[in-house]
Amino acid sequence: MGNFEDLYRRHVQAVFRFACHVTGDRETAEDLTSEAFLALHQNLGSIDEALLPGWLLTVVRNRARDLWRRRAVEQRYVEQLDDPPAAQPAAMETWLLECPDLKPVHRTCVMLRYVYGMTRTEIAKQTGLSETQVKGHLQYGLKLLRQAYGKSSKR
Amino acid sequence: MKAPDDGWDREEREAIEELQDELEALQARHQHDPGIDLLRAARHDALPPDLQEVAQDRLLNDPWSRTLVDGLEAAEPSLDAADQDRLLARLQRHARRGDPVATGRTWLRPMLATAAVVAVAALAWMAFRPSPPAPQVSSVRPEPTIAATPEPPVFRLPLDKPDVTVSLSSLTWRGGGADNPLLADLKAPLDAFRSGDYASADRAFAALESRYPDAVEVFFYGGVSRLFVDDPRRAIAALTRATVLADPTFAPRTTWYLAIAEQRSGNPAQARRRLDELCRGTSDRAAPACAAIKQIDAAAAASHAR
Repeated sequence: MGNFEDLYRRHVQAVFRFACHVTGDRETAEDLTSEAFLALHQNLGSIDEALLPGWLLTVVRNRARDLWRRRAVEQRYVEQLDDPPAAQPAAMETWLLECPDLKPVHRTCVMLRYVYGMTRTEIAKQTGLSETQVKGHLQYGLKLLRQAYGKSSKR
Repeated sequence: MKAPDDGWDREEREAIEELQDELEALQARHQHDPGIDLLRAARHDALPPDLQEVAQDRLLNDPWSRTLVDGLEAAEPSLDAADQDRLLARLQRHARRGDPVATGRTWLRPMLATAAVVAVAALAWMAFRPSPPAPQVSSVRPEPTIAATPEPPVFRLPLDKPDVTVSLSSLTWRGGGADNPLLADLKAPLDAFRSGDYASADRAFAALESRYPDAVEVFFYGGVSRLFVDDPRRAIAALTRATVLADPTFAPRTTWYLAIAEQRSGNPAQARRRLDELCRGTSDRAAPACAAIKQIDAAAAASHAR
């Protein structure tokens, strides 16, 4: 097993990134990353290095499940999930999901801004992009949206 | 249409004027959608089982939710050098003290506060009750934080990294050459895979799934990446799709990795069936599959003898 600091440097980015994806915010992700590496430190002699970073990610995933279990008690997640949109999607929704000129990140920025009403700062926090990048993606998405659905479009 | 808290800029105002009706219809349709953090956690199998099941269904059956998460997965949040040093210093401090809990654990604070109140109340009650004498009250500690090393199966199929190859159908996708967008889009995730950054590779392949539903590389290397980040259930989903695509270059390897994923997700019987299938064939995975079967049988026999 290598030196703890070497292992930390080698795997911290992947563990932190994964923690961000499963918790949705940097602060909690830092906490879970710390816990995973602390667990590694305490089990350093007994863990096969070949199991990394999978072992660390498993610790993060287990902690995230605990976290979501607590959140689930407070919120009605299951009801939200059991209630998908009923009506057929509008043409604009289909366009947004299928337009080949949009990348996933463009679609998501447009959805968060114009459907869920998020600020650019909130979108930047959610996506990990800078606010300038978010603005650029929104401008691009909106331009295509206007070309497809604006008054000057030939629908 | 209600503006977000930071308002609309000029371009947005112009666009909203033109698209107001359509956007308002979209907002109404999605006003009760589940939180994006929840969906994103589901993508990584990081929810408690009951919640995971329904959230996973939502991701499978609702293209809107899936697309939303695809875009979020493309993001690459990172710790800069100063943040890495700060976190390491915090870890070393706690490791020296033998403290099992990271300090910043903000989501635990309300629980600890409640536990502390309960402990104080218990101490007060025990101090003032007449008899019998109060037993020693241990200090209130949070749940232990050390995750047990995942329980190994009797014989664990080894996980090796496959060579990166691209199928003929992808090389010739829409004419091939410089105009082949599939090859261009595969480059970053395959580079991440080659460099061993499996978490990034997993996200990048997942983001390509809806755009290239017939590209076997997306599902094969995406599935193997998920195995490396210890997410066998999602690996099975991707590798099963790769199997359906039935590319001859990938077929035996896909079966091999599916067996690994099934064993690691607690379905050794299905894993064994896959190995049998490979062992009977003539591919380069036949010999390793036959050897693995022997080791599984030997381990099972030793286990019975114990």
